Amino acid sequence: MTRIGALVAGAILFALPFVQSGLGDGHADGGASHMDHAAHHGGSLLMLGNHHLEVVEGMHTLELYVSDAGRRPLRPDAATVVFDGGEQQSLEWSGYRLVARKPAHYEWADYRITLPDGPPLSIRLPARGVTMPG
Amino acid sequence: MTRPVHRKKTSRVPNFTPAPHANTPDRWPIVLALFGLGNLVNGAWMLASPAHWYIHLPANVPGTGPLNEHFVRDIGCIFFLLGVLLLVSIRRRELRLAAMVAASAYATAHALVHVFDSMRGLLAPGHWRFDLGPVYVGTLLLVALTWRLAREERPYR
Repeated sequence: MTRIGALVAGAILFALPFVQSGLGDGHADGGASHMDHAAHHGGSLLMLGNHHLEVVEGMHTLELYVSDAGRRPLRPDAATVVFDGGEQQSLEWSGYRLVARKPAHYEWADYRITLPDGPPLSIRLPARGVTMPG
Repeated sequence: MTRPVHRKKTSRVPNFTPAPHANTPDRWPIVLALFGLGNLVNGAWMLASPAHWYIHLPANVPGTGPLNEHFVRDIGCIFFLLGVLLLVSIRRRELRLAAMVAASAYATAHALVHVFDSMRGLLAPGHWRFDLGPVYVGTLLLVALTWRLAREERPYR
């Protein structure tokens, strides 16, 4: 084996573990993953422009998963939630999601999410089991 | 009258027939170092920060489903240990073939999982096009290199 051959083979093999892990459909389907509107975490999925927002309401926490058009997770610069127009909380980045402490009772929440690029995303959502008027 | 004892001539000296590749420089350390480093870095990344790996790996892991940190670390162990084995085998020549066979076996099994998941529809119909290079051709290359190493290392075993 020549030195060049060994370097080429080694370079390809170096990349192999990285390119073989994962391989989600976002690369293969030419954008069909934009049509993926399934909630991946058991919550409710919403579209905010070209972004996806999945809200998971747990017993004591609210989790927000923000992803781009191809469902690739995004890390917002900042995010806040205001419950019933009163208490405001910052959502903390944890793992690859935003997490906030859920109040014992609330009717609706205003979310404001600032992404590294683009305008802030805002949306008002009702608590689980609550129907928003209008 | 004693009969002469004809002892079978045995030699403790091994057969010194030169190996077919004995005169060519050993380039395998280059291959093993780069391949081992790739595995080691990927494995360490998966073990150290599964969420960071999940988001930032260029292979679009999120397209395969939500993050399971435990499983990322499980698989990270495989990559990390393969990396260690490959790097150790640079100095320990007797381990080279075992290291490459282990890596090839893992890559082959992984490729078969992709075939199976494509056939049963878990992966999108067009997914095989993206798998073709990294998964299928990459695995064939690895198996071919392992085959070549096995042939070159035979005289040393």
